[in-house]
Amino acid sequence: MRFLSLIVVFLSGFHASQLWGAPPKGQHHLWAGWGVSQSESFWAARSPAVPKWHLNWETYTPWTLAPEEVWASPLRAIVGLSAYSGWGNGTQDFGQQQSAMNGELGVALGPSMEGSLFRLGCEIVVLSQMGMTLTEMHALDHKQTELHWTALLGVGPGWYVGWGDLALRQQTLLGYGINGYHHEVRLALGYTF
Amino acid sequence: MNLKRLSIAIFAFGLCFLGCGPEPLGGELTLKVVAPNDDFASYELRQVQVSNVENIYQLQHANFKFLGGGLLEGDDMQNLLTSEVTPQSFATQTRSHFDQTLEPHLAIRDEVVHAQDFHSLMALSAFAGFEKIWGWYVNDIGDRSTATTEPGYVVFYGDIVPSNLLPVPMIQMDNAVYLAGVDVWMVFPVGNQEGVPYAMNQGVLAHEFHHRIFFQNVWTTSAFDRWKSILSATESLSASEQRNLNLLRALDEGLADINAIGYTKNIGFMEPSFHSEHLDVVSAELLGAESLRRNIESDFVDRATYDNLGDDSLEHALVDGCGVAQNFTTSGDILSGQAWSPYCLGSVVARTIWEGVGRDHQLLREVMLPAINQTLFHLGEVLGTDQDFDFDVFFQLLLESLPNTFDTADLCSEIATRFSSLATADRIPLCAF
Repeated sequence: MRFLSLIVVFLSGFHASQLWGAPPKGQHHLWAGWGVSQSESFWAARSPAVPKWHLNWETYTPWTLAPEEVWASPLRAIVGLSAYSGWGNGTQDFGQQQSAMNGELGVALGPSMEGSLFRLGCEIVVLSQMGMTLTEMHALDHKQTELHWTALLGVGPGWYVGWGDLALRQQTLLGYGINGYHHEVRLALGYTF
Repeated sequence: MNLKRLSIAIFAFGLCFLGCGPEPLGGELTLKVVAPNDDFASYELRQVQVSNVENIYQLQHANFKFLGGGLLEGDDMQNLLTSEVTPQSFATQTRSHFDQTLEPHLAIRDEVVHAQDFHSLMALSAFAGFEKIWGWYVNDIGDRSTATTEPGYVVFYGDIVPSNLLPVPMIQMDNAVYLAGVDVWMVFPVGNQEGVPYAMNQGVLAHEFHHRIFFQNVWTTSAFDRWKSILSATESLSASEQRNLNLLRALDEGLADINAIGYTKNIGFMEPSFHSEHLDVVSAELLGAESLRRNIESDFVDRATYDNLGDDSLEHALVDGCGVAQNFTTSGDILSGQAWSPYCLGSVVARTIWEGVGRDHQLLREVMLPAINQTLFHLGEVLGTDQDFDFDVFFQLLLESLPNTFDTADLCSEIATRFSSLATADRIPLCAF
């Protein structure tokens, strides 16, 4: 809450037209980042938090209100990939290794502003993820491989701060999917072009 | 398809996505789990048969079911210790802190139930283990107590905190326990202990199962009020009651071990869980000490007796982990000390019984263990009179329960060796020392 209050106070110092005007520098963003995600487990608690990499491409989607009238829009479309590999539980004798690859599709909406040095923005993100998880269990000398679907929809706030063409972003997603409730915290470094 | 039908289909799919599970699957099933070989000395991933399953997708059996995680606070237990509470109401109310269903990730292929991840494999393997063990205690040992006539519950990865004042979960790893009063078995996740996880080691599960048999026979019949007063934190225990409790805990552990030996026909039933190759030095030492205490034919148990543990005369290097030295300096009376491990004296009890059947597995399973089972109810009656407990009470009741055809010479000889102060005081009349 304290952070959100600071954002509001900071934003209120700018003219409103700066908030919803033309998109800031560039039309596209490329983000590469890392985070941790935690999905509800069947035993409800102690779900392992999995470190996860992601790569997102975002582009502003202009709003066409009439054939000759295209408005700049704060709405961005997101496509991307997220993945983790070799995430282990258990011991050398008994346990498992999991790897996953998910496609991502979503939108982000939120105000941004540009000052003399920094760009600052916040956003609400709606992101769907769908993909496969590979689980390799081992029990002494035996191995068993399982492949299953993952699908979830997450919503959450994000904020970013930029310098020139570079930006740093943090997002928090809360959602629900095939495995139940899910949350994810992501940090990313972005390039605007 | 028109728009209305399409929207109904999408709505139904959405509902199903959120809440639909597979149809219940029960009866006799084949599970692929981690299970012991015939000698219980090694384990492997293989197919086993289980029967009387009610719904494998929620690990529900006709006799027991698995519960999900949750948090139980010691204060919640204390607050229930009123004069009106019964064993059943106490268990029901404390158990409600855990999720009432557990749905591991399972898949059916070629009519065999497979776990789809390691945690599900832990749960499914424990399920198969409990099914076999339950049957053994009923059919071979002849238990007729509420331990086997009333449903059992297994909490998978639950947490316990001692008090609201210190709400830090005692995050337990690499363990399986029976929680008396709450009347649940608890299975904890794998941490860093190599070897077969306890939840997959059927000898360990048989040990934990016997704790329920002990509790239901001894404490919930005639002695429940005494158990409540012991558990109640508002009443500090007298030195004599602390001693009674320590000895009963040792008896509980010893009988759990000897029953697990009976079930597995292997005195080293814990060894598959005691691999130390990949452990750090500290963990390996702790595991080594545990192995020494729990193996009833170890150097420690060869020499340990009720008396030399009691008067601190056994070489300290052998009793590492028993808490003996600490108790001796703080209380002056080792067996009534508060910091005391029941496993050490428990192994002495188990060894006494083992020698009492001439190290014969068949005699142990067919004669001794059923007699011990019958003894427990009578022990509860004795405790219900607020009488002090010492091992003479148990051995006298056991000797009364053994059939006339059983030769008690070895048992009495072993009692004379390992409980000599009780034997020489003529406190066990059925043994002619």
